[in-house]
Amino acid sequence: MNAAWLPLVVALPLLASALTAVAPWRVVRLVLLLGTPLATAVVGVWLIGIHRETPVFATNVGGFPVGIAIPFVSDTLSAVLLAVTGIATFVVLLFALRTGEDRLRFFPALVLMLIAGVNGAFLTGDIFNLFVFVEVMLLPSYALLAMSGTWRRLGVGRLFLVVNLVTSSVFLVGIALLYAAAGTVNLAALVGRGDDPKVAFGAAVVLFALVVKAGAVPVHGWLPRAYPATSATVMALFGSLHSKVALVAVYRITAVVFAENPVLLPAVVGLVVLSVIVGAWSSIGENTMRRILSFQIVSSNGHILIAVALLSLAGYRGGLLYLVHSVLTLGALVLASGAVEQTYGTGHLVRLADLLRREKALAWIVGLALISLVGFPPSAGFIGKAALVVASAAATPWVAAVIIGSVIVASILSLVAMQRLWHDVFWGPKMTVYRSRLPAAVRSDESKDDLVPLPDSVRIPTLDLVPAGLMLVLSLAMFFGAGPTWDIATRAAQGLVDLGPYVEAVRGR
Amino acid sequence: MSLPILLGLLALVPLLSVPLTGFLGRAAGWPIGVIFLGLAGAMVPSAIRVANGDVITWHAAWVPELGLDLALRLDGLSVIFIALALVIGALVFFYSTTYFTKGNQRGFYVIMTGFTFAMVALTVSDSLVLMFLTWELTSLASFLLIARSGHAGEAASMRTMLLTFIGGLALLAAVALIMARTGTSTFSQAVASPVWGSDPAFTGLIAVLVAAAGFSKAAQFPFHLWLPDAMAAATPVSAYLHAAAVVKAGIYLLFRFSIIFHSTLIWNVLLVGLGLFTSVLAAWFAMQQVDLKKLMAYSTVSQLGLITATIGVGTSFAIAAALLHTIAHACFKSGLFMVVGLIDHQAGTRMIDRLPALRRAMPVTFTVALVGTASMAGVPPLLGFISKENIFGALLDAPGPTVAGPILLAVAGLGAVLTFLYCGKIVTGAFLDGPEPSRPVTEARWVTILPAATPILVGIPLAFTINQFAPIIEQAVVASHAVTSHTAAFHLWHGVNLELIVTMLVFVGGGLLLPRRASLRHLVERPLFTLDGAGVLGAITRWLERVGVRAAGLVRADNPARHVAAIIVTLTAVLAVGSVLLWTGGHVPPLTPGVNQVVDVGVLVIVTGSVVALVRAESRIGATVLLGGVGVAMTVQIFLLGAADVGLTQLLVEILTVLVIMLVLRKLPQEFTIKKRPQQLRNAVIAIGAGLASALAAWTVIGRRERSEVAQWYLSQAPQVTGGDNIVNVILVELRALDTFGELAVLGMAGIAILGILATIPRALLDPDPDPDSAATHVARPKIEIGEEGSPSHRALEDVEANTEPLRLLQTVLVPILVVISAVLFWRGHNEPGGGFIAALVAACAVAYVYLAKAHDRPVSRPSTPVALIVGGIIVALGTGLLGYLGGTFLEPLHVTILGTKFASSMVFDVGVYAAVLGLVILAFNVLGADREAKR
Repeated sequence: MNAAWLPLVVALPLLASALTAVAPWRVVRLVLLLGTPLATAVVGVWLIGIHRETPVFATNVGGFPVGIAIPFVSDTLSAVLLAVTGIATFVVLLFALRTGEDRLRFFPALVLMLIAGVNGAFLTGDIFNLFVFVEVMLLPSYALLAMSGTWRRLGVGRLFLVVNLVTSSVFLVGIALLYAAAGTVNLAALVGRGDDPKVAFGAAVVLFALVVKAGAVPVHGWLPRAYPATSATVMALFGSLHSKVALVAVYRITAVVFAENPVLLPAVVGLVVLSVIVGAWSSIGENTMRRILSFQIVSSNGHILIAVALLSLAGYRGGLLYLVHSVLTLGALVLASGAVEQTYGTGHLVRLADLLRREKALAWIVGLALISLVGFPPSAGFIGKAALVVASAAATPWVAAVIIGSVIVASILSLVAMQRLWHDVFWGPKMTVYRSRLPAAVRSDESKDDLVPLPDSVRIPTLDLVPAGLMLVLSLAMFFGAGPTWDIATRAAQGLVDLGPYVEAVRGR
Repeated sequence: MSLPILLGLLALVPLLSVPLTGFLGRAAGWPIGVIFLGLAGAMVPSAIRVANGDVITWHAAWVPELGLDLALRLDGLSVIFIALALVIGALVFFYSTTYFTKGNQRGFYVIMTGFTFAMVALTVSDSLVLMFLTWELTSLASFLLIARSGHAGEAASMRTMLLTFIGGLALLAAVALIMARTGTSTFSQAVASPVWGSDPAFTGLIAVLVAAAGFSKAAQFPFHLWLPDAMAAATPVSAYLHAAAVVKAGIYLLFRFSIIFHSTLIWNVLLVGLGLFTSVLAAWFAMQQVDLKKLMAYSTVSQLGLITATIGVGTSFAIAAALLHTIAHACFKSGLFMVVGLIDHQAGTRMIDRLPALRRAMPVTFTVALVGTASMAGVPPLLGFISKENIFGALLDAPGPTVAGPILLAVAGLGAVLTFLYCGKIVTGAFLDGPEPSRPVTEARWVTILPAATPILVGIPLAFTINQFAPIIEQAVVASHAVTSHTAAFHLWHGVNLELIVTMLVFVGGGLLLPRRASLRHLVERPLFTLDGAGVLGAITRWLERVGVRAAGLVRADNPARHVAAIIVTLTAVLAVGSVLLWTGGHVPPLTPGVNQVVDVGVLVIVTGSVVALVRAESRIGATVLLGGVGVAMTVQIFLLGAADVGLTQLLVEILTVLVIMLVLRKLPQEFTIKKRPQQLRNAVIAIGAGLASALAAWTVIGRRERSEVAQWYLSQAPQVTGGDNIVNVILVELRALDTFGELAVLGMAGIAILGILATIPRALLDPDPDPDSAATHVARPKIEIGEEGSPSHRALEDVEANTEPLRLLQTVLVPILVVISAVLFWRGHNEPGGGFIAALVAACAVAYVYLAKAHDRPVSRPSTPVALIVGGIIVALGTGLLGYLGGTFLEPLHVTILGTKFASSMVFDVGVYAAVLGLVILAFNVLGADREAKR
């Protein structure tokens, strides 16, 4: 593969986005909408295969000299992320077809632009360009968040917009400081520069902005506030893409700038401890399925940040495995919650009950996904958690003790939260009333009392559960295919620990 | 049969049980039981090899680096636990075929057989991670079996899961730490590591973690409460899992790790102390029960406590005694559970208070129960007698201070008295006390009794032949205790010694108390504590929930300020701490001369003044004007720094921004609704702090180095490489065209995003409600004193035709001029200040002018025009990018000379920028500037 073609992974989704904005035929819009993420995933898988032989390859966009041009770099890490986010996006969009959200005006165009931004953020080798692609990702997100869900989406859309604009400003401040200190924002030129305290300072501000976007405690509040107020589709999309883009960028920048330099260690450990515990604990205190899950997203993002405390091959590998697990498992749960809301009109724990008797398939999906979320075998969560704990055990004693302790506490708290969810939704007395199905886009606020008697014949249509089921199957595949998955994750982590090939690929040609 | 085949076949059984239950219904237990017995039989040759001192291993990689190898190892310990799991499993399955009355019990068979697989896999696993994995699987299966027993089991299953999960996490931590310290994931290699001897603190920590894991599953205090809870499950489940398997998984783990910890003090203290404590406490609880099954559960906890304590003694003799008692207990307890099932089934209750005297109605069951309880009470000549004698001996010989042995023996003796009493309670309560049955009660069918009786009755011959099994027990001791000189030899009679005397005392004491049971009952059955275990756990989870609500409440706000505050405060900390550390660490180089200008102070004053006024403004229009003031001050600053392009852009953007804000303001009240509030002071402090921190950071880092290599290159090389003299423009459209491309998409799609959101909102909700009663959305018209119709003030403010007349007059001149300026700016962009972005903004000003000059608020174009411009702009820019492939890469600029003029493909790119920017502005005016009336 010629590295020069890499920018097409960004350019073609954008082209698709532009075309769907004006294409008058729904079938064209659908083909582009579903085909683009699928193609992204295929390219990702293909690149993973290529990187077995060539660990890294890069192109200088525009053909300008090294250091001047913006490099696009592909390695196993970025390829894995392309594949995983591509698949996840595809599955989520299948659910969008079921809810009819794909018929919302410009929905396909906005989603495709989101994909372009995500892909660009994974491939770029330049921090300012990363900022640009994060913006490309966020701009359509502002609209998507406010397009479907309850009316609260509008108020929450304002929250999401303001928080992200502020954070983007912080990101820019960080880039300015970094450039002032280092004279470059090209990742390959920043290798090991964290030993200079000024550069470390600038990079720390950049990382802080990314951490906000990843929703880590104490700067997490916007995430569990915004995500549940939008539709399940959009929540699943954001949960799978946004914070993961931020986290992978955190990995990349930390690995490049700091290598094994532990200057940020106390801060990172603090973030990890707060995120995993506060996220899990808060999820016990929530009362709708998706609010609970939104705090679980915070907690799982905290788990993923553990790698940044460990700065080791095993740590990055564990973090990456956990990241993939988090995308699949939480995706399955959010989509399953969405399916419940589609049919029963609510995701409120108080209003749902006894679904085990009514919805066998749903119970299987949610049950297995919850098992995965708390880390029981056989599930992706087991692999992720075991890998992280084993990696943490090798750290210096205090770090190992604090991190493993936090993970254990968070696991117990998560189990309590998940038990509560299961108990309230799937067990309990027979459900007698529900809120009948309304189109997602015009759903009124939860508080409005429009309950009607629940006929015994009401069931979630099987097709509504297919997307959640697909996510779960992928998660199970990650457990049973743990061998190959592990190898790929190792190669991806290798690219973060051994930066020689990265630098060579960017600067060598 | 080799181990992988055994595991493979066992893994197939749950799958097989799906069709089996389909064809046979509950009778599926027969073939499944036969398969288990067959597998057990097939393992006999291997067992004999192991008994002769062989260790059978097998290895295959699965996820080698996680230590998740399929490393299997069959030693004496494994053989004993596999035998228990398979044989008792088979009996329980036989029992199940007639015990269950209805349904095909598919879930039961699938989960039970799945559990057996996990249990056997656990006992042969030599990989630490595989051990943990199978351990978790047994927890999960046990949870599922309780959970499927209906509403009664729901809460209980949750508690079981939580408690065993905590133990699982302890095991995970232990496994991870062992792997990190010993560098191996194979248990048998980790055992050999020198770490255990050299680092007592580490050894102690792991011992505590493993003990916690073992306790959680073996139902030892404080994890004991799940086992009585689990009695909600069906009897076969209890007979198997809660007598022979799950709880024995916990015991297995303690045996397994005993090889490392048998002389680690904390291990000895924990196991012996908590084991004996649990043993006595649970025996007391058992005596309190009136539900026979609950009684059995507490008795199990008590017996397991005794085993745990004996393992904790750590001598090879003690290990052998504990092993023997494990076998004995598995036999009599699984049988007794099934007997209770028989009683429940036939008499319709298992409550002692309601049970009639069943000895005449169910003589066979009575006999079996008598033998089983006798074995549990340690009556000779039964297996339970031998094992208990050995345990007494082991405790008496416990290493440590000389008083330790007798004290331990005394405590165990107390437990044994209580055991004797509750055994008596079972027999008397079910078979002797109470009236004759009021309705006919009969024996169960033989096919049901037989599987229940077998494990109990087998204890009689076993008591006499147990020495036949000494070699395998010997090997199990070897596996659990590094060195052994002990030769396992168990005798019914080994002369009069202290153990025998204690046993006799136990019988005398028990025998004396038992006849007084009627008068003692009310004393015993009074609750010991006001809160039971479930209550404690419930209180803990409720507390967790309360804190959770508070934690979630911390961020329960839709007001962006709450969330932004957290971000800004943290940012302030990062910036301030970082800067201060840089100064104190001496990492701040001197300032480059000439960076600061006096005039900067002026800009700072203007900006600060505007911002202060802005935040205090009560009128929205006033605030907008002040915002524009800040923007203009910034423009001045940019011009002062010599960036003409950026300055021009900034100025034009400021103008257009103010215009667009004005369009929105028309729909909002004139004044801000939020008046002064106490939190404004807090917000002010946060904001000022953040400003100071940012300033400090900028002062610390910026302007303190030479020009960067990149900047040098731009100055020296860029004009030659790109053919353009205007570096800013060249950077934008060539060197970093990818950034521009992204931002262009952002800008253009912002318009699409606005349309997308608006399309989901009913039109009527977009404009203020004209009804003055609608307090929320009504916006009152501003009240301004104006004169009569025809007066100048009326003409200026109310007569739309008149007050826009001059604008329209100028339009014909001004708009063409703006268009020409726009074209010129576009053209000269490559070499002098200008370019597509600025040119588009100038054209946008023309659009804005046309809009303002209209007498009514009408769209400035057809609705599709801006969308077409935006999409067209993006596609043109993209097309330029793709065209770059002619030169080799994406966005590579191409240069051609036509008619002596040099053209660069970047100019086409600039056309894309131009179109997208213009499209966005037109769209903003169309969407925000048009009235509802005008739309009609």
